Amino acid sequence: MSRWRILQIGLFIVILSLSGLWMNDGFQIFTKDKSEKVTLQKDDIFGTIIEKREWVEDFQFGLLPDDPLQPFRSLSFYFVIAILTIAIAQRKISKSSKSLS
Amino acid sequence: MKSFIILCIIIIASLELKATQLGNVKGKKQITLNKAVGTSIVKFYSNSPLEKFEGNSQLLQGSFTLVAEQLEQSTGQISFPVNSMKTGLSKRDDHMYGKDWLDAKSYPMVTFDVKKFTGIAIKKSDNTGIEFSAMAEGQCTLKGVSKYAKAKVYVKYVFESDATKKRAEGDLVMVDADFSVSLKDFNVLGKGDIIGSKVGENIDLDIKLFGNESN
Repeated sequence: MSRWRILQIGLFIVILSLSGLWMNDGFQIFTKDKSEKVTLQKDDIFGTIIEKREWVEDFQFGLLPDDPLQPFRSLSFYFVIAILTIAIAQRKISKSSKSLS
Repeated sequence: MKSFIILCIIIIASLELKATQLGNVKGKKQITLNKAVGTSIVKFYSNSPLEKFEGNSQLLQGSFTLVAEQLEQSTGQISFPVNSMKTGLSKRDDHMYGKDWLDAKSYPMVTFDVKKFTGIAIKKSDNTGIEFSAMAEGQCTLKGVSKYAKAKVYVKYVFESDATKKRAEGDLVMVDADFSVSLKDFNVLGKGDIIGSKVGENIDLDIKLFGNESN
């Protein structure tokens, strides 16, 4: 197996992993750097359930970057890079197979 | 015809004079927001085709006066700092505080001045407290623009007891309020065509207030 083919397979695995991470983070459109921790508590005096909310540092991978100046903080950036690299690798593989034949 | 008009005026005037009593409570009750009673919070929701997001501020401050003999005349003012509004995305928060959006530097506070209550309906009244729903009418001020606003409120008024004293002195109050603001009405125009695509044209607010009697 050529190293170009190995690179293609590696990139495919990377993209699958990043897509899994994106799905796991809740299909975020934009990358987020915080998430909200919500704790429910029973309030006996008011006879209701009250929410305690606090923001905690939590990176959530999004389809698009949270900051346009930092495009690498998004799935789409790696997707584009990987597709381009896979295409280049495919071209190299085709070229080398043609030269062999 | 003349007598009919007079009758109509009398009916309308009597409706206007209709006063709702806060159970057996007497006088004016000054309620001040107090963290010991509960964490007051304003949650805001933006719904647009590209993204739905929500955020909140937990730095609410203010007070209101419940006029026990005539709840309709109750007033109050609630406010919170613009830069206490968080959405979970620091970059978006920074944009939100910026000049194109809420301009936190020039207009640091969002305020809601309650001028009166209308449509009051007592939902529960017993020896532990009183619950009522109403429409709070007043002025909402955002980015230096004041507009008439109407919020649906549900008030739980709990009389002082051994259990309430553990939290704070005096009678305790919880208010649940919902209303919506149109960004355009408050001159919040954003950049380009973001409003309507990434940010909702109307922002829904869900407010929970906790306070105690402070006089």
